[in-house]
Amino acid sequence: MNCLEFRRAKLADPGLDNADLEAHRLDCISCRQFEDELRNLDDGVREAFAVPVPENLEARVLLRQSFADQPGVGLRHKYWLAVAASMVVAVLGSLLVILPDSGSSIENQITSHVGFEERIAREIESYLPASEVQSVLDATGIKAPLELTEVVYAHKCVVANKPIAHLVMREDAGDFTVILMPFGVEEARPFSIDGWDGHIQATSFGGIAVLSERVQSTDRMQHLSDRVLASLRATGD
Amino acid sequence: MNPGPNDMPDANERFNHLVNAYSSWLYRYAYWLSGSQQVAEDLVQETFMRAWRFLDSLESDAAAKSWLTTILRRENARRFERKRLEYSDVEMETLPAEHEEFDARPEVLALRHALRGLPAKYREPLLLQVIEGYSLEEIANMFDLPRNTVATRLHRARQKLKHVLEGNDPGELNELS
Ligand SMILES: [Zn+2]
Ligand SMILES: [Zn+2]
Repeated sequence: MNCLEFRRAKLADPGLDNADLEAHRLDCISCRQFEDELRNLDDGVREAFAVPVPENLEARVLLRQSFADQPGVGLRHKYWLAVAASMVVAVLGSLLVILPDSGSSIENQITSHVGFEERIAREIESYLPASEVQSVLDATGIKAPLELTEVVYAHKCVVANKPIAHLVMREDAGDFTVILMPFGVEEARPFSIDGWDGHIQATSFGGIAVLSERVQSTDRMQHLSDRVLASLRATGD
Repeated sequence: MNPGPNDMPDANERFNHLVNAYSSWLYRYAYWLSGSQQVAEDLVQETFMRAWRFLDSLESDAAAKSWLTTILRRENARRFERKRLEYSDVEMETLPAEHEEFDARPEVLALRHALRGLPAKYREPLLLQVIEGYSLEEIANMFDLPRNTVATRLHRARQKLKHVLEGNDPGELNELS
């Protein structure tokens, strides 16, 4: 075996080994070096490959599966299956969190979280009873009585490693997403990120973000945010 | 009679296991196939939806990863049929996370850049071999190609990467073979 044959074999499969290869390796310093370089190259490929996996990817897959064909199961029932599935994964998920997203702003993290569930919510045809929405708030640790009647989807989710109440509300103009957070928000501000327009502000219990994917204005999002907060205050006093 | 996955009492449990065990691998593989984080997530979603529908056809859990990877590759191919694009036309986007805290050591960035520049037909078998330890035969089966063709692609893949990392223009490589 000569150097060319050795290198050709190793380039195709660095793990390959046999008596001929072994004999040449013992004889040839430069091919030993070449082999080391290939090993480093493959180590580098392994590192480069490991791009960050989105948080809660597993939960979103299971959530969608729970909405898939289940003959004889009605939509309301499916909703609870979905909740059950994602609750289970939320627990597992917290052990499997790949990347804490500490670098990016809260509105960035919210925007990258909400898309899938807003799409899921489109398949839901009825409003949730206020008591179900309230139970999500309770589970999230938000102490605010809430009388919202236009909620089609409510779920306790995790954003920035903290629990939040994730609601999708429906009005004639379409759906919009409301995130209630049991932790503080520094200052009220509008945002436009990746096709989502939204508004975020502080509240007595922490913070609220309202956002929508359709072409909207941040002003309108602020208006919706105030409206949701008004319904909190009206029942809270 | 058409026994679907829902007739098996443990279908959900089996599916949960697949999702937890393989979604990271599939997502990353899909990212390197598609060059887009959004498309990668869509591909993972479509792959698992299909896997759920055809869960009965997965005979042993030992074969699960190859089975899922094959589904994902088909879903990706379907995407190109729909858009009438050539696979090799894909531009890979830069990960936004690269500008933040995600592993941004210069040597890792350089390799990620070099991998992106590699033609897909070289990149794919390389990832299967390096990351998942697939043998030449397994890759040949998955791609429906002769073993020698796969060997040549792997050989070229490493040659090109080395060449780029050594600071050369990827275009002007004199083949060693
Ligand atoms: Zn030699
Ligand atoms: Zn959510």
